[in-house]
Amino acid sequence: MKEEAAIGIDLGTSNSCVATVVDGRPRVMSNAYGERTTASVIAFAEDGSVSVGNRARAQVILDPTHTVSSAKRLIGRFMFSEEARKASAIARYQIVEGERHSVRIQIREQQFSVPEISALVLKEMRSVAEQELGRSLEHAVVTVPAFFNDNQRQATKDAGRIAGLNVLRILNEPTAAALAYGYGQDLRAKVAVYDLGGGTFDISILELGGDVFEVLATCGDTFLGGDDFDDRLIDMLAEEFQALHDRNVRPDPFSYEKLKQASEKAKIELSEKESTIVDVPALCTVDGKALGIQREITRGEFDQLVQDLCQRTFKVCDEALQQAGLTVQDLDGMILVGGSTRMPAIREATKGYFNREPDCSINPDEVVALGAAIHAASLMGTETDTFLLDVTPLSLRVGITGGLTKVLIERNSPVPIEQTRVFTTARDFQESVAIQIFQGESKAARDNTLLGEVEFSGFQPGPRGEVKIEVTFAITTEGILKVSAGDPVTGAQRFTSVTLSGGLSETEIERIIRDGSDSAATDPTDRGEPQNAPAGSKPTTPDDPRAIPLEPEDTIDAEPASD
Amino acid sequence: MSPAEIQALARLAGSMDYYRLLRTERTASLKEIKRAYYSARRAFHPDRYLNEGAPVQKAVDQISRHINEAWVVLRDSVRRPAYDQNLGEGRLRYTLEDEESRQEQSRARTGRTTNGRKFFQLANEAEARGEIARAIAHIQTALTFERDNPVLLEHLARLRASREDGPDTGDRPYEIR
Repeated sequence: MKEEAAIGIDLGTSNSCVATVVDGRPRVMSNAYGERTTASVIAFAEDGSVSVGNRARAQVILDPTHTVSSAKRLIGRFMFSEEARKASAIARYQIVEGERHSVRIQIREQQFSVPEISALVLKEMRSVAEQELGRSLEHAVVTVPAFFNDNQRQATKDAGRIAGLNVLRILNEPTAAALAYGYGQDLRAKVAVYDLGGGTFDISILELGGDVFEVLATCGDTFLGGDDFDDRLIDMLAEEFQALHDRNVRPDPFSYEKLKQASEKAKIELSEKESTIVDVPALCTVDGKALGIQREITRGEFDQLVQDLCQRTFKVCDEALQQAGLTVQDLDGMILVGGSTRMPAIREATKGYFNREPDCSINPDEVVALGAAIHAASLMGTETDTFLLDVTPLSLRVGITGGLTKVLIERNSPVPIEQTRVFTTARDFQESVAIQIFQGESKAARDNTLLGEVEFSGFQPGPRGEVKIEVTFAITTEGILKVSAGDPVTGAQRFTSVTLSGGLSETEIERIIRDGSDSAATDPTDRGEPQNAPAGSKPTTPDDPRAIPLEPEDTIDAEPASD
Repeated sequence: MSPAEIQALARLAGSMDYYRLLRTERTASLKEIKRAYYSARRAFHPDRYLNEGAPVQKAVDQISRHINEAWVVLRDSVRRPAYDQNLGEGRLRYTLEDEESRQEQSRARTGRTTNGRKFFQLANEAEARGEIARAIAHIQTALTFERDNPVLLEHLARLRASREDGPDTGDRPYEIR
């Protein structure tokens, strides 16, 4: 394995980047057009051909319904999730519900799962690297936002497998950034990594202790990213247009796309210049007459529009610092990550909040991919020279009676970690329990994200409250959750992962890999039951009364098994 | 460590106390514990064993989980003394139930309800001023909000006892107008 090369891929909401370590130095690889980042956009042409990247992005205007962008917002999500609902309302391509509440993307007659879509981007990044290095590559580290939940991580890993990659590790983006920043420098410092990407915001507090990179805390907002800054401009321009011409252009895919691209362009230009002109000559046609927008926007005006978005990130920063048990004064450095941190509004605001200049030694678009490449090389080598100690960003809970939850693993626990807790049945002689797995910080089940459900039935039935069911949550080094349930009396056990509902089953992944991405999951009758899935079980929503069969068993004091 | 030793340690880790697992002392400072934690994580980091077979990978993962469990408790200035108490009773691990009962106790110490806390606070202030009868009245009020709070009950008993055997310095009865 030693001689093989491995790549690091930053799979972004808007743009992706690939890097590798050559002769001990991490390096970003450029695509055929000489671009160091590639748009995470996939265009499906009428003739069946698929293109990925910046050329595909240009097609969004011409054919918005057959061009997929920002798929990262949907990965690992259920159709009933807030994110999927929001995306369905905004996206110009068609989002439909697949099996087990999964999100599917319909392109003409074909349905694609989100991991299949992301796999197309990963494949493109892989081929960018292969072309530059002139050899075939298989091993990769793929990054995800630190705040990604378990399903999102698992789905990203699935995407890697579908792309034909051996995913060595799923790595958190801020941890990767810190690695690129501190690698080989023997730093002893506490740093904040402020990561504002296209669709997500993460803040991580790390302690660098020579060869150890320890994440102290990580917090985030999966609803906040550069896209939201674009939206502010789009809304302003659309409203002004409506006031002038009495026409709402937002529902029209063609006009919307034009407006979106013009807004994004203006936002980027305002990072360099004090003012810019939005010029969309033919936004739409009213009574056979083409109407457009031409408007000057100043940086001050834009800063005003997005001020509250900046403030929202600092609420999250407060929380992360508090979790780490630190204050701003304890920090030795601050790293800005993600293209959105180029905005002067963000630069100024972060400088104020952290009371220091950001470290800008590495390009914020590339720092994550570079860190991933360093980690990939370290994993391929025989001597590991850097140790990453990461945490799980959100508490993991089990649903209990009364619509409540009990914590098994607290947020910001170092991974890997394992916790066991004893529960009991809520009804007399109940033969099976549905263990609902939640991720979030609220006692109330409905305020958390439902990750999935496991049915356990191997226990000895008995009167309510007398049956003991041990539920164990284990989180791997990559932040992926394994759930097992057991009966301490009969010894019956069941291991499972929580991707049972919503995500792709093992059978599906294997079939997609075998058949190639052309025959995406379109025929539900051909799909076997997922191997681990309990027969007849379907995920229930948090409000379903069936969903809360467990009560905490408080009288049990779990002694260690031995001694 | 040889693969066989690693697998043996994985089996034993659950029955080792946290200090022994991290190879540190009961008296170690936080800084020393952190150093021990880093070196334990280094030694058994899953990244180091990616080229090993599945049994070894599983074993280092198991050991790392125990190391993290130990660290989460020992780094915490509140959980560590609670764990030390467990150790005194021969219990080697600190469970979720232990942590919850500790939290419950600490809530009980200051009062579980808003009004309970308020009157408990007033009682403590009165006691500090030496006004025992007033303190008792406040505790009794606090108890109407949380009847079974053992800390309040104990406090009440102590105040009553102190009134019986101690001199009633500065404790004035309620005045009738």
